[in-house]
Amino acid sequence: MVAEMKHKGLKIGLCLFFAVMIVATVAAENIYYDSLPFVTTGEAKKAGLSESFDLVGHVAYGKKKNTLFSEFNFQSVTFLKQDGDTVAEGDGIYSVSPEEVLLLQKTLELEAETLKEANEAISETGDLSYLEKDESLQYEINTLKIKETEKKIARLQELYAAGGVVAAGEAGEIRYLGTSGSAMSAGAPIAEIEGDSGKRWITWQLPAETGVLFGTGDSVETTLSVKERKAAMSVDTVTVSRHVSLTIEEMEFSPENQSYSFKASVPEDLTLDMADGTKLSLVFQYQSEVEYGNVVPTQAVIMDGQNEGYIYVVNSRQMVYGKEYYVTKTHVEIQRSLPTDTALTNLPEDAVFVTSSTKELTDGAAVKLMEPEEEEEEEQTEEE
Amino acid sequence: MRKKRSTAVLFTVMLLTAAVSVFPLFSVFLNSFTDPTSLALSTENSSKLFFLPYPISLSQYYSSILGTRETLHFFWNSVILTVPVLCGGVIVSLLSGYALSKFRFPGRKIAFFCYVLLMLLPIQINVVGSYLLFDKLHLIGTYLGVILPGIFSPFGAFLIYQFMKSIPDNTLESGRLDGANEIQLLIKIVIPQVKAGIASMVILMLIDCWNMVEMPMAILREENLYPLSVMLRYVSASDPRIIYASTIVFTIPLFLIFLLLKDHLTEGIAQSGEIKA
Repeated sequence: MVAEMKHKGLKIGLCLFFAVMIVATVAAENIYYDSLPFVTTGEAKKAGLSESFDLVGHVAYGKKKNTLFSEFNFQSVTFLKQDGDTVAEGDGIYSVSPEEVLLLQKTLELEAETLKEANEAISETGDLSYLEKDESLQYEINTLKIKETEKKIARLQELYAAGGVVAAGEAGEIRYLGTSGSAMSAGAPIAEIEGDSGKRWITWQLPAETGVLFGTGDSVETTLSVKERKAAMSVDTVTVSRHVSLTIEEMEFSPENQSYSFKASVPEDLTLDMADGTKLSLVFQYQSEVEYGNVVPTQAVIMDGQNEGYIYVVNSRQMVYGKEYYVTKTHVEIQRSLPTDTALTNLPEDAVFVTSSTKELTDGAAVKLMEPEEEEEEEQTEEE
Repeated sequence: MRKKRSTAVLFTVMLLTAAVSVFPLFSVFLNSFTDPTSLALSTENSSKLFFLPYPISLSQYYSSILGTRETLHFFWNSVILTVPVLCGGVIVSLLSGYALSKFRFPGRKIAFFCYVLLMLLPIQINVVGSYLLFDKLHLIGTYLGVILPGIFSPFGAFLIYQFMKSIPDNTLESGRLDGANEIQLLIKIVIPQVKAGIASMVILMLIDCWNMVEMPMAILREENLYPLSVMLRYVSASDPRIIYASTIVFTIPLFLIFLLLKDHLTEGIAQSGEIKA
């Protein structure tokens, strides 16, 4: 009886052991495959490098600066506007006391008279032919001085008639260069007026890595979009797009921002309502003129600590339990790199490389290849 | 007094010998329940022997069975090789033993002599000949190249021959007179009388086949076909901490089957002793 039970127990034990081994085989397989990272793969193509740009630009009105200088030595100049004020043509910018103007005028008149008398002393008739050379030269100098002085006198008379107020010759934003109430020497700058030069620019910025693709004189075929009001008094806007060709006229690199600023004139045939500072949407593409032998997605290239690039190339090997895919770290030389594509050299021919992975990869690590249907499903899930 | 002293000395010697024999397996069994990290640390720093596992952990078994696929893969390779050899070997041995023991045909003695000679030769000598033969038969790199030599092993036929010799010929004659053919005689009369012998043969063939190393290494070219007896070193090389658990897992089916059939084995040994007597 005991022996029979022992026998039965051993048979059950043996069956149980093999059952556990069968279940463990299936479980171990699942555990192993679940631990492997999913990777998407790609192949290098022979193509030029292209990059799409979709960025925000601005409309900028060209400015020109006009500096106003003091015409005479004034004892006290009073500024009539504040720094940053917008002045129209004819607006008073600064004033001088009429008495001072009159005093200057009379002083100059006296000066002119003195010069005239000096000339009369040299030649009453004005005939210089019988004069010595130095005398005729002095006569001419005096004559020229008289003309200059008379001009100044005429200007002072105008100023006196205007009550000592100097007006702006053009519209713009004013900036004073001195202190109100202080003396001003003749020829000293008093104010600057920054006015509209009439030039219209479209400006945009690009990071250094993509900005280097363009140069002054390059043409950029872009789709330009701007929001316009549906009607003059309406708050509703509509996006209007135009396809234009912009020629880069200026570009400047900013070391602080590590970016390039670009300026292109607004095409004359572009009839969009664009005020100074209007935001624009610019969409354009860059295509390299040179064709590269190995162009891969930039996300496939990884930079290591020594700033050298490498990619993971997918290979297959026969393992004890079947075929398995694994990755090998392959160093590559980067010819040129853009945010989307990178051109490489010394990539093995027909190499299949990893473009993305669900886990961090190491050299020799086993991987699972994501099927194209699974990749689409994952992209759809990400979008949702 | 002298007899008691000599018995005590003999007993001590036997005990020590048994301890030395059993200790490796005992150590493997205990160390299989030791945490792999502490096991690795201890073996790095010293060559201490562990008598009690501390801390007790089943993580070695988990790592061996579920943590790596190799152990189970090679385990099933062992099963794939062993089961056909056992089943085929039993059938072929019964038929050969019956023919050698109960039939009189020209060349019977020469055939029996060849069986004994082959049985006495070490397997290493047979390997080269087997390789050349199976190469001509295009069986190199296949399981059949390992299974066929196991099935037609001379040891099983010899063992069954010894057990069948004791069956009286008149029993078979009376069966023949009743109209039974040879196969019926074998199945209904002979086999029930040599169950102990069959059990002995199964155990011994199982041990031989489960632990075989030379034939798989010679015949099978690909590592993924090797049994666990060959690849246990590979499994432990990939992760030395699971060697103890893998060894125990490898031993368990053999142990269970032995326990199941050991009564028949002892009965068989007893019967063969009676036969000799």
